[in-house]
Amino acid sequence: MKLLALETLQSLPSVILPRLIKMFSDTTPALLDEIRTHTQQGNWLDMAKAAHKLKGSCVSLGAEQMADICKDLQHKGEANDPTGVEGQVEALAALYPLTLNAMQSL
Amino acid sequence: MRILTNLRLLQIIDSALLIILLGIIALLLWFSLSNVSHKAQQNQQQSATAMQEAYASFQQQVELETRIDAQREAYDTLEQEFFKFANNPNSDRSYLPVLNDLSDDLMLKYKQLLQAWPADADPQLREQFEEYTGIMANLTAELETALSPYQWQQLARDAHDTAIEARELMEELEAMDDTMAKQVMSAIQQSMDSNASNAEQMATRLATIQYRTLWIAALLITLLIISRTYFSGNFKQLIYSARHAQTTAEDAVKTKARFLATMSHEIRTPMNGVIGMTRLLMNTPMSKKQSEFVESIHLSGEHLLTVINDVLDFSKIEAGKLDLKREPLELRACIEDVFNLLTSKAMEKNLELAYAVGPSIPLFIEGDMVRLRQVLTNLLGNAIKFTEQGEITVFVMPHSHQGDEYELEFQINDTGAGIPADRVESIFEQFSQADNALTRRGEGTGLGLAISRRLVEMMDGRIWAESTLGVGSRFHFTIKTRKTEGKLKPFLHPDIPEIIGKRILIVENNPASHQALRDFCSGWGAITQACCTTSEAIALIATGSTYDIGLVDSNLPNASALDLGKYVRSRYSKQEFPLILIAPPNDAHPKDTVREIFNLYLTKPITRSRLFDSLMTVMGELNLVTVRPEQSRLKLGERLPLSILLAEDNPINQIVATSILEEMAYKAEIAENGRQAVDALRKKPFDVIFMDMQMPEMDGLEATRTIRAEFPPDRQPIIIAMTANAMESDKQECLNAGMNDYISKPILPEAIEAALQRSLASLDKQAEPA
Repeated sequence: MKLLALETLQSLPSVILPRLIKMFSDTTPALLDEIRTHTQQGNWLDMAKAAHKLKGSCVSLGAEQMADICKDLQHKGEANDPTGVEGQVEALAALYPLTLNAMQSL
Repeated sequence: MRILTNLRLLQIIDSALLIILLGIIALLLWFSLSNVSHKAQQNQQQSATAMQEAYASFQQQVELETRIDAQREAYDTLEQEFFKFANNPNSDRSYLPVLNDLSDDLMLKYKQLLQAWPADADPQLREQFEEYTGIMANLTAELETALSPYQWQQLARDAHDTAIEARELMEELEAMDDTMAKQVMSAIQQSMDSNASNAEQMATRLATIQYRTLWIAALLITLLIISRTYFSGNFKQLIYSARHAQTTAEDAVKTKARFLATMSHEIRTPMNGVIGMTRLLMNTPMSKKQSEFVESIHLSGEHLLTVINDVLDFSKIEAGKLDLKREPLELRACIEDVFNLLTSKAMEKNLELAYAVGPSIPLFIEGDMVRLRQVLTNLLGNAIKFTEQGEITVFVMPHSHQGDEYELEFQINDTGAGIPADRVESIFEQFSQADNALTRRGEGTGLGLAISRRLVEMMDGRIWAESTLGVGSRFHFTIKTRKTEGKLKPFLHPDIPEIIGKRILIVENNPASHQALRDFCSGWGAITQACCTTSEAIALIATGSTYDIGLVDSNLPNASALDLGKYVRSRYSKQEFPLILIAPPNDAHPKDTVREIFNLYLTKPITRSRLFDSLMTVMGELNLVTVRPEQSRLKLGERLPLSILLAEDNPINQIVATSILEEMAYKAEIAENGRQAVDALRKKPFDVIFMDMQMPEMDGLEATRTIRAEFPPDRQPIIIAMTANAMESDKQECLNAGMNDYISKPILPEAIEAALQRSLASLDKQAEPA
């Protein structure tokens, strides 16, 4: 699975790409914080909602690895299953700067 | 299977029992009625015979009585006339003829009487009668000889006595006849009595049959009811067992599908985490040893992910859970994608990659791009893996073609070590590899070709291989597809105005690349002249042929690409005759020299997009390509305006979707959630709603159900689901909720346009007069 699916980004109107990347960089840290906070507090359903929201952005911008982790976090949150969630949250947070960097270097 | 066998057995027994019972009823009725019919026939014959006999006796009796009366009358007449003659004193011989006539009449009547004389009458009686009648006739004859009246009187007395005797005999005969008549009457009476008795017997017999039939029928019906009840119970039990088995099997399949889906996430997600983290680790300062270890972890992780993907794919195919899409795919782009993916591996071994697609094959065919790419990646990946030097080529040609239907044959050729003949057949089996050393080295799962074979079979095709040790291998596969339309990229348009009529010299010795270059350039409208060696090309130029552009392969025999370049430059400047060097990234030619001679590098593998860009660049017209045929057409929204509502809570997705729609000349309104979408629809009608499935407050499914329940038919919009969940069950859930169509995220322009086209088709259909 690719960090960034270029074909997804290339299919989007090029004029909106900078705006989308800016929005991604503006909204993702807050969503990551939200996911992390809900995870620490055990609010699994709220964590799932935040993961779903971040997943939507990631899917649209071709951030496949982040989207996949978000999807898994969402499923675990909906199932009240805390197994491995913390590790995945950290992996997600670690992937974010790499993904953003890949987007910005396009 | 066992249940079906039992069901069939029960059905056979049930039917056999029914047939046997009906057969018994029919046989019993047949025998009973046959017996009755035979007896009735016999009685009728007996009765007819008796009646005929009685009638004959009656006729005979009447005849006899008539003859007796006639005889008696003849006697009386003769006797009276005899008496008159004998006692009349005036009698004379002249009267004798009268008496003779009467005597003859007597004899005539006598003979007639004898004809009717009963055969069983006393013979003595007949003899006496014959005697008296003879006497009577003789007395008349004696009158001829008697002379005196006294003698006449004596003869008259004798005649009188004889007549009396004869009358007594006739009375006796009459008495006997009466007795016979009584016997006849008695026989008739007996016959009638017998008939009555037979009729009565017949009636009794029929009544018995009726009674027995009733009982037997009742018995058989009872047996049938019992058998039916028994079999029906068994049938119910078997059907229940079958349904139970079906439900269990379906549950098992669902469980397996769920398991696969879960596994896909449960395994892949941490693996992605491991690989991602490893990549992060690789960006941190480490010793050389540590870097090697991390690199090894990274490679192993990538390999493990490939193995997991293979196993999951194979399991999905085995479980019948892999659905192939049928969407427009651009075949050449599909091959080029695979080339792009594998170029780096091919370049590591200095292998040349080239492909050629038959010019009669349409640009867009229907199929599953991802899965076709998977098959090609697998076969090409194997080819690269097993080839140490030489080239890998892909040819696609029409195997058969009828209208828009095509059967395409793909050939993947390599110049590798080849596969031993005894293993060629088995390499498509799972966990089978031509080279066991690969398995030991941990390369590949042995599932790649098995997956490819299954995928090809799902595309209604077949796959096979042929190989010669030391020469190379050729893998073939076919797929069935059809021509379709798709969105053309600029370089896919035929007859590019900027290229039409341009004379292009192609110098390329690799047959596949040679063919590809000719096909691409000719397709854009160029006039091509192709040759395989430098000397051929120089000869053409030397004889005065002129060209607008030259495409020169860097790997010509005797490293002569530069020689050709120098020759050209000795006659033409870069502007007069631009040259493009087609070379691999690690081309060995000195860069400075190349820059002096050639206008541009075209990096291998050759793809249409890169070739197109190169041609445009050297012509200095890349930025002048402004009017494409497609762009001159009206946009979808201009041709077919629609009011569109976008129900989506994610701001990035809102921008993506609205921007794509704006590109199509549609202005979409936005609802942040399902409730807002319903409210918006209450305020004004929309033709189409793009509905996200998961939204806060009211999700897409609930909003759709509300819309379908609340609004009248003329206010019902087309609702198209948008979701990142790719499971078939999610799609079914959307359709069940009342949505019309479904697109997966990420939202792509092609998907939105295709969904809108389908919506328009459905709106047109609704608008058509009935």
